[in-house]
Amino acid sequence: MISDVRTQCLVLLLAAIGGVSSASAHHSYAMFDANNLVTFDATVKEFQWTNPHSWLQVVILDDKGVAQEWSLELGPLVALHRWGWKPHTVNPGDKVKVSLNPLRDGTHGGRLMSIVLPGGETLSGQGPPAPPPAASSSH
Amino acid sequence: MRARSAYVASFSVIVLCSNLGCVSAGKPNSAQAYDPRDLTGIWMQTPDRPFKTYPLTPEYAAILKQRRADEAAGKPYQVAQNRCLPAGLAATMTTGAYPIEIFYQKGGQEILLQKENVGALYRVYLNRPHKSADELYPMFYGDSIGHWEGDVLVVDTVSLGATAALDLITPHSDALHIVQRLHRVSFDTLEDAITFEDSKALTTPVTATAVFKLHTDWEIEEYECTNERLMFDEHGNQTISKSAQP
Repeated sequence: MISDVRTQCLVLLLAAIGGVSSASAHHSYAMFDANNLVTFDATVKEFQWTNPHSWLQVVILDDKGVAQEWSLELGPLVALHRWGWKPHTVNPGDKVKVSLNPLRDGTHGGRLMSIVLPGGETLSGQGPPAPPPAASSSH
Repeated sequence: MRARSAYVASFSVIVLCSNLGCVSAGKPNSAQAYDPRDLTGIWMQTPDRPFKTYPLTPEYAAILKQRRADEAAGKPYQVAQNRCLPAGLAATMTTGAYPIEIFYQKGGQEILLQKENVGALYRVYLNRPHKSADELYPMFYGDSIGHWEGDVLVVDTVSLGATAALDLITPHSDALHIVQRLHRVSFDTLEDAITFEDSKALTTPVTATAVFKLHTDWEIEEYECTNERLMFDEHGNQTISKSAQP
């Protein structure tokens, strides 16, 4: 279920972290709704420490209390190292809080923007903000 | 990439073996002493991207406009690296999201550059002119030749037709010609003055400088695409799969 701790402060912080372009872009993020940041309580099912992106499989209860599996995309493992992650930063069964930009098509998935670990530490899933790509012109 | 372990002392030596044999290169060992012609090490571009605008011809401005419209519609243009192919030389030097390791043996006839993601090697030959036109074909990193002008390494690259984006979206043509002037201006700073010339896509050559910082405590990690979950439906809409794509 959607957490009650969604605060405007957190939204602003994560918007700054995410930005439009990732620090480690492998593909376009058009499939994610960058203007919609939602936070869920979740249980970790699997952490895939992989390239070109790492993925966090979590179980989230929907509005009816039914467990749904979500796929959350992070940066590649090469960049996650840089941002403080390790292969076992999260483990199956961990209770976490995830903030994400959901998929536009309604599929249970999204771009993980940040996570609050069981110990209370917050990590970014997308690294520090990066400047937008060059604006092109025809002049 | 991660920080080198403490036991890897500052005097460590990198040895790279390939089908060309082994290349050994001593790492810089102090913040004061360095050889400006030794570009060896792991370099990360600073957050400031070198190009703010590109002077596109009307034809290529229209291509960019269409790509942006497709992006907004959820059908983004697919650059090569989306398919875990090399980013190509132009995007490597303009987008800077991953570090680059440079290998060079002083007095050698080849410089190797490796970008962390996808891991493709970019080779600069110091001992020959460009291949003849009938030997060239569309490449990601092109045919690159280099020479020194003082302490500046001048790299000239042609035949870049395997990619079609100067960054992640701005188009270029198969006529793209890139000249880089790499200058290690201090122990930990490498400047790359990049000139794009493209008679089809650009109305005039454009030059900007990318700045890279040396990270002596980083290592390049493996980057093999074992978990590609990006997929597209029959209409070209981008989404994800629940498991890795074959």
